[in-house]
Amino acid sequence: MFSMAFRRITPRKRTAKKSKIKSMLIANRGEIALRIIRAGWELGIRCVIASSETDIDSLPSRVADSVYNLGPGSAAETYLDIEKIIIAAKKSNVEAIHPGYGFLSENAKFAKRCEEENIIFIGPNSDSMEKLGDKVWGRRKAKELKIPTIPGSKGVVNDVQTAIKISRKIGFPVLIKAAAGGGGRGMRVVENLKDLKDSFESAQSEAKLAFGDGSCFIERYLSKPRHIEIQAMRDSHGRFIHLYERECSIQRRHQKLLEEAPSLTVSNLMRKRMINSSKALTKAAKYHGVCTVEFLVDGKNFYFIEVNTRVQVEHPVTEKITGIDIIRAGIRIAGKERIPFSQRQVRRSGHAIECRINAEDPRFGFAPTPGKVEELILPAGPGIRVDTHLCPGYTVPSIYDSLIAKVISYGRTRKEAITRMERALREMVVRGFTTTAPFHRRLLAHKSFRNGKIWTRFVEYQGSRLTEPSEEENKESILAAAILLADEENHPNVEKDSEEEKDWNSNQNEEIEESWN
Amino acid sequence: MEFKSERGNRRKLELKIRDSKGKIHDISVDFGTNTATFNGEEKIPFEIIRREQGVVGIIIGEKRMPVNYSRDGIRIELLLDGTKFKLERETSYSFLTRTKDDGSSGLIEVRSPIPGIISSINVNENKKVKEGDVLCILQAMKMENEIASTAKGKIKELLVVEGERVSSDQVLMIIEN
Repeated sequence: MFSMAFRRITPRKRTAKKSKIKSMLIANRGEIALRIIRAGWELGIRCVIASSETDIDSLPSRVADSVYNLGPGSAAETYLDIEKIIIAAKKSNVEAIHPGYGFLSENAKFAKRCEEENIIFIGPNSDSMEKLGDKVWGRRKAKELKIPTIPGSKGVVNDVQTAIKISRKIGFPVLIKAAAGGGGRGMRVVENLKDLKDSFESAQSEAKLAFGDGSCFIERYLSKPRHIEIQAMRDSHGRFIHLYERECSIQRRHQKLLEEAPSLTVSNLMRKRMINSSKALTKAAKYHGVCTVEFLVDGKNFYFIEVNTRVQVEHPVTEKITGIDIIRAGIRIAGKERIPFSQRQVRRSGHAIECRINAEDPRFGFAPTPGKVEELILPAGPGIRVDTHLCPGYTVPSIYDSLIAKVISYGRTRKEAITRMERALREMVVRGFTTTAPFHRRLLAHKSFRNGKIWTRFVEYQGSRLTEPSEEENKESILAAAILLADEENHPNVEKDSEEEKDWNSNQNEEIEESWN
Repeated sequence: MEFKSERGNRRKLELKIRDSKGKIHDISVDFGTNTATFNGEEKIPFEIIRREQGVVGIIIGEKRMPVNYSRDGIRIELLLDGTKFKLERETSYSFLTRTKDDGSSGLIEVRSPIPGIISSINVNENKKVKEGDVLCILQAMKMENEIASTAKGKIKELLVVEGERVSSDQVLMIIEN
């Protein structure tokens, strides 16, 4: 009877405004699928996940509102099959498709099909995607807009005389690379005019041998470039917002391993020029959605490389320093909503680092090491965010990429972010297969990294100092082996009993009989 | 950690471990004090972390590390804190298997024909044996199986202890003839 005194007060609604899009299909897997579902739920969106049979028990498929089974098979037969995804969207009765990153996210044909079927593609329209996805268009447009690009030959070079003429114009050192090449083959760095003739001829013959085509490109060689990118977004009403830059120089064969924001070396002036370039480019392509504009920075110069017309793996570092949810923004923009804040309202503070933890063995050229998660302890606590689809008992499949977790740390300073990351990696336990976590521990402890002296070939340059175990790690492994061996000798396989007993009762008897006789 | 004193338990063991570069290290493991020494350096405390599924981790010094451990004869594969290590136990036998092709070795490996438990050992190191001598008893499928010598010689090295569970084809001892 006293309950009358406790009048229930309806709290003021504080939840985020619901999005215009009410349902979406997530055409992706792994941690990014989970990340998109999280954003979707916060916006009140019904999330259907398109999942291959392999991934049907994975975490994103378990938490999604519903699952559409794409059937068995490789990525080409599931996540990359445009018509299958379109059918999945229609059958699940969704308004939109979120492609995540990789797979169909930068496939203009897919974006076009969505448009034809009246499904909202969460990303740019197919036309601007096609333009910005085309490196030739991007380079040409950049030149028109007076955005610096790496100086080089306009097309292929087939004779030494032209090579000399071009090299003189762009200045030494120059890089000669096979037009048909890749993976460093047929590449030559030439320091001066004297060596050009020999190098050009040998590059040509190597290219001819390796690819059956001797034509080469010549461009200015950047000795220690950094990879810097601008995170941007532009709504369909033309408002452009940037979320500052990210430093992604820690990479191996163009595969990023660690990213951070902000960059240590970008000056205010350079940042401003990069942002203006990004703004002009996205405007020229009539772009809407979130995107990343990539640059190489060499000393005081920066050069435009390309635009990524999708959300990126490393988006959380920017979210950490700006507090803006990039995935949510992308969904809202796709729903033709206006970006509800101005550039002045975008503040950045502190420093964030992301370590990509892959199921790979750095000792063997980062070869994938799929396996079962036997034990999992994820780091948490102040300043730590982990984006992962791992759970205990989950088996990392061998047919998809090897990213298993993104550990993101935040601190007021870079030093604090590093300390927190080191703490997080010490806390984290992923038992069952090799991971790149030890590589990251060595990297974070490396003096040059701590001093910010990094460039795009830093990992290659450091080599075994980062990929091989340290003396301390080797010593620990030898001690551990001896201790476990000694322990095993003292306790002859006590714990294996139950398993072996099972084997005895099963089908092994016949085999044993045979080997016995 | 509590240890029951059972058959063949030794409190202190000396082992030689060969690393991937071929370097041999002397390790002494003391289960009395739970310490180990590395090449005669100072003692380092250790602890083995066990769960129902077996050994899951190890603490060496002050560092706690998840571990997967598997052994195939002398070869040890260790997944320690996310890095895979391949190591070998150094014995006179392992040395000879590595230099097997010189043809000069007069050593014979006695292997277990089936998985089972070594219920008793009738010989010790340096003991002379002749063909047909029973070396040890292997208990498997509720039967006691005699493992007899196929050659005349001297027991060079004993690689198992009484009560040890052995796998098929595991080397039990080495005879030098």
